[in-house]
Amino acid sequence: MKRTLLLILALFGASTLITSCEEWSFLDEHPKKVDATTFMSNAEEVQSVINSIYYQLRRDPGFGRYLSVLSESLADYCYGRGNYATSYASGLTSGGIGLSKDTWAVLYRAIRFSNQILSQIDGASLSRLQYEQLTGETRYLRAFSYSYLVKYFGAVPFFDETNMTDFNKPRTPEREIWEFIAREAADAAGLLPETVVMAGHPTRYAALMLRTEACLYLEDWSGAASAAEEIVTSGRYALVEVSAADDFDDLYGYKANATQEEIFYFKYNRDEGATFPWMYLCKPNPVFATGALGIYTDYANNRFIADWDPADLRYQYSLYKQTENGTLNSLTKTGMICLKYRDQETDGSTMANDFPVYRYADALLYYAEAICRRDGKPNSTALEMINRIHRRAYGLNPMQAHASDYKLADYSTQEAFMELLLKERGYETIFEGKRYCDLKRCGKLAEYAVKAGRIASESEVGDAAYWWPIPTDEFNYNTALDPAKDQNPGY
Amino acid sequence: MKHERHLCAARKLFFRISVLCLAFLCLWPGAALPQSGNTINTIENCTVRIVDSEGQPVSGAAVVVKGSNRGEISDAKGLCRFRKIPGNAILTVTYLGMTARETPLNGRTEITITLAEESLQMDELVVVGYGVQRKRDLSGAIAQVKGDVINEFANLSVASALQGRVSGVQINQLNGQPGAGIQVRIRGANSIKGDNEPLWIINGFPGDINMINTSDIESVEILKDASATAIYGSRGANGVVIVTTKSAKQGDVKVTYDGSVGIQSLAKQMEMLSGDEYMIYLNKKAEINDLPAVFTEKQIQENTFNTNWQDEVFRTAVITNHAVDITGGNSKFQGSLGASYFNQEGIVKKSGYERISLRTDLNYNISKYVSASANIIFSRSNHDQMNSQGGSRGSSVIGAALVTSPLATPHYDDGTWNDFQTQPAAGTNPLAYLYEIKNKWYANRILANAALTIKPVDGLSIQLAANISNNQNRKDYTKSLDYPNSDGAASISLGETLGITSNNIITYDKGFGKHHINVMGGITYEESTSKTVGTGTGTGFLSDVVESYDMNAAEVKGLPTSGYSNWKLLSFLGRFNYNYDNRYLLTVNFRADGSSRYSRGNKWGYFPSAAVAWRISQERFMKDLDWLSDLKLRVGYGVTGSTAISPYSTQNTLESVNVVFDKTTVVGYAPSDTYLGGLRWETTAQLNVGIDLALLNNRIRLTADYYHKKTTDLLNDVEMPRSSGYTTALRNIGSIRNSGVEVQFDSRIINKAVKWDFGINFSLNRSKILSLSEGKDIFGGTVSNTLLSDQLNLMREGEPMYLFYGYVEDGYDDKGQIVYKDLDGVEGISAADKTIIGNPNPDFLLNFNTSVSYKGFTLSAFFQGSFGNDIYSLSMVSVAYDYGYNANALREVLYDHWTPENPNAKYPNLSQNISLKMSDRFVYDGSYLRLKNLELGYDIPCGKGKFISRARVFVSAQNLFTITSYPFWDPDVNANGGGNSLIQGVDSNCYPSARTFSLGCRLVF
Repeated sequence: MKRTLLLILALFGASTLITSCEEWSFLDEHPKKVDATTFMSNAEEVQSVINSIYYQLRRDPGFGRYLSVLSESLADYCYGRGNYATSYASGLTSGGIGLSKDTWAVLYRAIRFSNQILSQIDGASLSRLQYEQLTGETRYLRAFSYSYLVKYFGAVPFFDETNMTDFNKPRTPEREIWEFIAREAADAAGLLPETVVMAGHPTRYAALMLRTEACLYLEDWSGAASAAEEIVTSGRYALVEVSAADDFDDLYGYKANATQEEIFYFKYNRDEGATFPWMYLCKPNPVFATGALGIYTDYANNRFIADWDPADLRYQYSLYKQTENGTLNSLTKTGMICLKYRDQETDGSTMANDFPVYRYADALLYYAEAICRRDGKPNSTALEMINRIHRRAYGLNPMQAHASDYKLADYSTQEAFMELLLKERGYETIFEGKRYCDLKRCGKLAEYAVKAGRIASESEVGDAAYWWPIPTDEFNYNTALDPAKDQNPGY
Repeated sequence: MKHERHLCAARKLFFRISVLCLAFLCLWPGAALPQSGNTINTIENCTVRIVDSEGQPVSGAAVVVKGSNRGEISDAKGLCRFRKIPGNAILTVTYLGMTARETPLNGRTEITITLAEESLQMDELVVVGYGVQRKRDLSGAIAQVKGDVINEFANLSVASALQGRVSGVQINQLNGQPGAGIQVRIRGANSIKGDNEPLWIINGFPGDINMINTSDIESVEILKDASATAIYGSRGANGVVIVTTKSAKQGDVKVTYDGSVGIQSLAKQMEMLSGDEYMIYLNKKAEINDLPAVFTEKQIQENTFNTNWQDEVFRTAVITNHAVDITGGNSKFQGSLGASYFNQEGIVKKSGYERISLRTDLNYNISKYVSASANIIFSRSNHDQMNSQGGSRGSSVIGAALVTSPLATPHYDDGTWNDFQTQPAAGTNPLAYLYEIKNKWYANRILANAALTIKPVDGLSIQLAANISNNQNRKDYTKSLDYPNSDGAASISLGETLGITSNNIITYDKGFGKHHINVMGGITYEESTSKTVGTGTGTGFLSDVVESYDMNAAEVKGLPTSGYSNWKLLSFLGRFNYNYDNRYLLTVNFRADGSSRYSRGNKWGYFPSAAVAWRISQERFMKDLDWLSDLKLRVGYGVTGSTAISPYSTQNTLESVNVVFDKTTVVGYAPSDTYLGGLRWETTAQLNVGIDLALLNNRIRLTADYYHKKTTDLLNDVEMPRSSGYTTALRNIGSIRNSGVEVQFDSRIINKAVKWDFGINFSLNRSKILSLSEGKDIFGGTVSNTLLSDQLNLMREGEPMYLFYGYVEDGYDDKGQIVYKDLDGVEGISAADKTIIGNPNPDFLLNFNTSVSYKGFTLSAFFQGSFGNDIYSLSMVSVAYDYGYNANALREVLYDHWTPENPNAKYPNLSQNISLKMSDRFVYDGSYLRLKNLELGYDIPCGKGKFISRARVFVSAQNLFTITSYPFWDPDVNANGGGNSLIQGVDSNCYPSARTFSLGCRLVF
């Protein structure tokens, strides 16, 4: 009996001694995962973490869908439906607001990943060249992500690798962020290589495109012109030539890769496909058996489309007149859907088409705009840029003058030239998620919406048409922001 | 080791204790009455027969000659024999669950003693953590539910069978699908991040309750207060449910069969627009939105299409349950065998759940000192899952069952599935989904325990027990080529969880006069390893024949995934019980837990508790009160904990992701979305004050408890500003209080030839968030059905948990659009205008059951109710407010929407620019009272010794009616619920509940 009691006492004694058990190593954890604190030790490992930035940007809330479809829903030539329904009076509807908050989140995640890499990269053993290229790529991606935040949300909280854990930040004015982007893009251009082995990583010219864009927003016309000129005259790019509408498959098709025209694209393939094309489609169409029809257009009621020359190969390739009964037909009897991104072999869930962020055509048009704005009027070089694109659209050799070319005499003022440029850029980049930002940047959003017949008068355009709202989540958790004062106008 | 074992061991222990106690009592000076008298005459051979009130022999009863240490145990025929026994001896007979009885022998050589079943079950044993106690000795709040209550009607899960049975326990199904999750909350939710589900203990070890068929259950104990749960330390904060399956018993072999079969159907149909009305509705909507008419007058007049999609999707489904239990044994060996089969077809076509379970329980009494036991349960579940719920616009099967165009038919004329692309709205074809997409899931689960019990000296018991719990499951997904626009798809996912537990417990139990002590100490170790593998979804199959059994046949291979997780818990535990004169009871518990989940320096948590109880009815001054059967006051206080965090939460790791360069998939490593910080244990301190009262020979019984719980160092994923690039940060952020009252009342109102029983239980819980880090609100997460997407549930200092937070409506504007109240005074409606708009927590739960029996007939009813809780109904949003889309709608939308002539209509103008917000419009009163079960049973008289010794047949109805104002299918719904879900009280196109009519029988051979 005594022994028993002793045993019990010993047990209780043991339990009081367990403070010394803290070191018992069998209670340590050994997750079968990579340790973030020690992982970035060499170039390969750093590159693999940089890849995760692309992972964020290529998801649905990024370029996988919302940054194209939701953007286009406020373009003059488009109509949104469901979550992508928009109004020039009140901007995004609740569905779109729900989507745009995820866009905000993935862009900031890309920025945080970039900051995290930049704060740890000094600990990796890298050659000077590796260091330059990896920091260049990271800084490019960070600035690139900011450019989309500032385009859609305006002034936004700003973080770099020096202050990345000071979480509650007020909005930094748009201009300061564009200045940061312009600076970083110039630096990245100096760090990045002329060419890359695997298409989808940025080159020096991708950074110059970003710099051109930032300069345009900053109205630094000569800065934009010189950056764009360097791209145009680099000799590394050319327009993909076509002779029939379907030849645009060589540029937009699901197999197209590392074309002469590709400066910076988000890349998709069969396994890791994109969902944006799906939102442009609905049944019946010659490419794909279904589709969700997020955006569409109208060949009778939309003047932009109605006035477009049907002989233009881009018109023939990009648009499909849908007259049969179906989703679109219950909305309009004169509807058209977008066939620009064709994947003839998809199984239905995703498509393998790349998303063209910066094409050579964009460089030409930015260059043309920058010259015209810098000089207050166009010159022959500027017009030649537009003509190259115009020629290609009719199956002609882009580099060879043609009788159908636009003449400088007809577009000699900045106003006339810019109108031509916006029209041509609209045709060229339709459904590429660029139109809304172009019109906004040029102060033409309301005017063109009226011109296209989307609204009756410019007075219908409310403040909200110009911005996406700062997400509710940000106000909920960011103590530096007050929803009553800091929300974008109109929301 | 296993719990059955505990129960058995406990019974034997109890027998010994009772013999011992009786002997002691008799030997005590002054207590030994007969000893001093004259021995009149000695009877040479005396046969004692023990029977129950039905005349059935009782085996295993203890028969003691009062005043001596002579005792016998009745055999399988209920017989025991005494030699040379004084003729004036008094026999004391005790048996578990029966009232002890003293009978003077009065010189008889044969005597039959009838034991009455104890009505209050005061001497009944209750399973507690790592042991058993007599009910009357309990000082904590522990409720017991018997197997026959659990098994009253066919239930797929033990948790759903417990719904409404116990006060202080709130049980919600997430939806009505067989096999759907069930959320159990004992005395409210303590944790935000951590699991709020109770710990399930099966036969002494943590186990997966979903493997158990209800018919295999002997009893369920629910440990509610800290004095009862602290022995489970960091596993006990949410309460503990101890499930004991049927165990081996000594006696003749007894075979019991339980069986039932039932017919289920959709309890309520929603009234949607008919085909003609739908055409009118779309035209009206087009007109309001300045769009061309969708249909011409002629088309409307000539329309013959009118598909009721609810009729297409739902069906009359069968539910069956069969269970056989065989038990018997002698004093050296006892065994039990059980087999049961449960099959519930879902009321949605092609869905269903099936489970077969086999179990065995063996006890060997190797010697006087050593016994060994084993308990093994194997269960196989097959689940045809219907995972397409929620959403809007017919994106899910359940949603599509309502809003699909009534002009569409399931098939095109050529027999292929309609993809609705020629309809005004194209959602999922629900029938095509049900027939062509399969999610077949199965699990093989084994729970095996073995125990060795050594009793070297009287009162001392050393038990070494081990448990293996293995769960292997597999899910095969296939999409056939016949599904609209399908190239065929398939995937397989596999999971395996292996749990190993070792309990090593020493118990010492001893009485010293009026003092009785019970000391327990032990070391336990628990480890769990989970592994998962998925093939990814392969697409592009040429034939459906291969299903998921040739993944290589996929043209596009899926991307494989795999995962691993492991955690360990080492515990030291101890308990001290002291009982003075059955009047004063004291329990002290202690447990120390070392968990692998915390980082060094924080690995150990300590969990003490203590409770006292005073049985006032045992006091001398109360003993004369005949009407008072029992009165006990209980007070307990203790600390329990929760590990709350998942394994590896304190580790900074990278996740692999896929990206594409040059059309080639490349791997990337992504930093985590969670920002890390140092973490402490989450602990819950609980005070419990309770009273047990029984009157009129236990005909009226009342148990009432008040509790007050405070959880501190709450762990949570604190939402981060999204601009930080993080989603959340894991932190200790605050404290929550839960306090409440629970009352359980049972009575026999009439106790004559007609017996009328009535029982009621009442639970009231109030939660309050006491503090949150920096006073910051915590949101439950985005609630979305694409039409609406916003944060809904709110945790705010000073408020209850899970409140609905949103906009307040203020009628319609002159265009019939919803106007929202501008609460912040700043022009425009922004997130700052959100306020508290509802509360998903019930004011109280009230359940009652009543039964009337007469001559073998029993009519019983069981009502279950929840009162004062709100439901946020995304279901109503999708069926009545989707004017931007041409889906079908509730009939009343067509007839009661805003027009200039009807400015106060129920529904706004049918404008496609309708601006919906998370507003109070979709908050509904979710109170309900449901007739959960109505049953008429009849005990067929069986002669003694016949082949069938007992036969009972019954007809019953489940979910016969529900009194509620909630307009959608079912108020018993919690679409986003779950162990640690902060999204509570949402309904979103959930699988609806069934109404069931069944008949069944119980036969004992």
